[in-house]
Amino acid sequence: MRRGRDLLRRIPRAGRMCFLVALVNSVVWGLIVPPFHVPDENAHFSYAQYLAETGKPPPEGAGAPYSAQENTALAALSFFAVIGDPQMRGVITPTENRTLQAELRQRLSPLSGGGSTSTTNEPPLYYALAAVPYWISPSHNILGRLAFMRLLSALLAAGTALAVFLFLRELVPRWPWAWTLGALMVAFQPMVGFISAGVQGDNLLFLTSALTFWLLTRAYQRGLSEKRAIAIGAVTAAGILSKLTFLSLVPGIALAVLLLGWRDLDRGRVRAVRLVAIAAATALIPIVAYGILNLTAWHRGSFLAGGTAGAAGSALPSGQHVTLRESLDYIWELYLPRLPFMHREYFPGGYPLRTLWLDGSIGHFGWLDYGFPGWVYRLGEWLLVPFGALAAISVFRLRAQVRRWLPLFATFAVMALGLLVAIGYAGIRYQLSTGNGFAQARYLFPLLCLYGLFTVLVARGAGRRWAPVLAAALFMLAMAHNLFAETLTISRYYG
Amino acid sequence: MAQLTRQERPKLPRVLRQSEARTGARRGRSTTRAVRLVLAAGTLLILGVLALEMSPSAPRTAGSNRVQPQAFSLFPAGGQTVCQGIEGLPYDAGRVSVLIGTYGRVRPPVQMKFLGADGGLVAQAAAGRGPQGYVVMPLRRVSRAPAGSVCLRIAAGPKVALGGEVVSALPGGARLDGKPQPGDMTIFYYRPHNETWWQLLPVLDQRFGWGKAPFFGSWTLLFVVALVVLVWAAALRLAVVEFR
Repeated sequence: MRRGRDLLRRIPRAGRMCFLVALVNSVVWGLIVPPFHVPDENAHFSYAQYLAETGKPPPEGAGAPYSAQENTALAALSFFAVIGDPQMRGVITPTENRTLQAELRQRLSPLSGGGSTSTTNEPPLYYALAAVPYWISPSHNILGRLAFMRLLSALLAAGTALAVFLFLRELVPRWPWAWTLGALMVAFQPMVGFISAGVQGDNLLFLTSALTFWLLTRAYQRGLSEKRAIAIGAVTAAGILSKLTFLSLVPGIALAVLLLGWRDLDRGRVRAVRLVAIAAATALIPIVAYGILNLTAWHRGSFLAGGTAGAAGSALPSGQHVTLRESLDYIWELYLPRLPFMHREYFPGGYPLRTLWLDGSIGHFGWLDYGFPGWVYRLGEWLLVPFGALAAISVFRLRAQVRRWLPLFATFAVMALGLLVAIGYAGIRYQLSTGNGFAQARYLFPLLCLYGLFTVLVARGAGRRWAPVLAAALFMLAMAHNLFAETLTISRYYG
Repeated sequence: MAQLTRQERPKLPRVLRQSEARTGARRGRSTTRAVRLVLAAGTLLILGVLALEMSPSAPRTAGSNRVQPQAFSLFPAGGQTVCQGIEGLPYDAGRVSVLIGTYGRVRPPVQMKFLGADGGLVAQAAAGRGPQGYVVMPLRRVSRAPAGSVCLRIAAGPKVALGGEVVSALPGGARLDGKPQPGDMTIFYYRPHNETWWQLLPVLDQRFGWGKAPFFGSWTLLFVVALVVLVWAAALRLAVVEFR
């Protein structure tokens, strides 16, 4: 207890404040967004409910994916009529609310058959954590439980903002304004707020990714110790056990740990090898245990419960196979302009860097069914030009310092590249199987630390003296962005 | 970062060091002033824009029959009547809207009747000739009884197409002159008059407590506003202290 308090005291007051601000902001989002309206929240809730009720993850069989309780709630909320059409509203009359509450008062089973949904092949860590507020919720009403479970996501989002703060503190220890700026920019990023509003496994992925960036930077700055090796391994394991997307970061993390070990060679070869082995073992043991449980106790089909099969297999339901060249073309076009020899145009609707990643980060809310007026996205695109220029000026001015960090940033680049490739690799299979687009801007949020760093570089581009002033301007922009995203959401669901 | 360490820094004469410190402090003060100015101006600007955003008067929704306008789903000819089940009329509905396509021709007059379970008239709406698209009609209530069905009569004229869903999901599916149809029509309801967001605030306050866990109520929106004010105050204070 005292140890925990000591650890807390070692976080600067500004960091603790950033945590609280992010927490309350996420709670606000959680109160604004109606139940189940965060993408896939119905599936995430279903997983958590199954785990809370049975103590094990869903078997992914042919059973019913949702409990009678959840099905009734979704029907009474007119959930499927509301998603996808911004003109539709959920429960907005007293009669509808009375009907909903009467339906929820029925004694319906909270147990589903654990059938397949978009989340059931994911590992259970987030859902095991979500089971705690499910159990301790004083209300046994499904929407009451959901409201309490949403608080967990708010906590995780606040933790992510704090991790960004700590990451920047390691990276730029002499610029305290920068730590706060990066953390607040993440806390007030409206898509982060929107995702943190719901029962959504991505929130733990964002936190574990941000913690990984922080721990690697800390170890690079201060040297690899036994405690730091264990922490890096533990966070890596937690990341993989939260969402398998984290696997795409693992090559970069492994490279970073090897780099840290190599830098430690002068303190003894055996010591360096031991520390790297500790990090690897700490990461591997829980994952192997999870795999064995999948195969033996939980009977989930395979070591990773089929979690990578859909994303990594080359066969489509139609019997066709996705070739390596098609995958590479798709991955390229997902982020960069199509080259003349790429004969297939995968994104005829527009250049994904703009329409998907940038506009999506500015805000594609709900089940991708509402957003800002068009001029907001155009303004965002225009703002990116001076922001990019300012960040480039910063990097140039700070080139001597950047050189020192270059090896670590090379491993971060591998992590980022791994994520981009994984999104594309899974994306082409999904798109060719279903005809629907796959990627969403939130898939890049495991890199939120780099977003925080980008905003710091933009502010620092104004020079040492004016950097805090530009930081204040960026912060106000983020506050406005967040506030108007919240009012937009209120008008979408209640107006 | 790459600033010189204490040992590496050349020793300056005391007077020069004091002068450097004074200049630094002056610069620090002017930076702090500029930061405060940006935060104050930014806050005022945001509040101003928010106030402006909430001021325009426009139609505000009172709900719908939960049928998405995905496609044209019913095709009555002039003189025909489409009837379908509904789950009551929203308490604050003062206008009703349906999507009517006419293949480019002038839309014939239409009349809507909302009927109770006993077949008695609950409310009605009508519109004269006009262009195709969403037809918004003022709704006149004649009874407080709950409506169980709605009938849309197309006056004599060319065939029209009604927007809705092609596969019926409603318990009392649509019927065209009594014949069951595969799809349903979408009905949107609007409040009686155009309103600003300011005028709608009491309604938003009510709606915010509905469709959630039973312990939420009409206090929820006020609570959210209080939390937003708290977040803003804390974040601005943090920025004032840290951005220097």
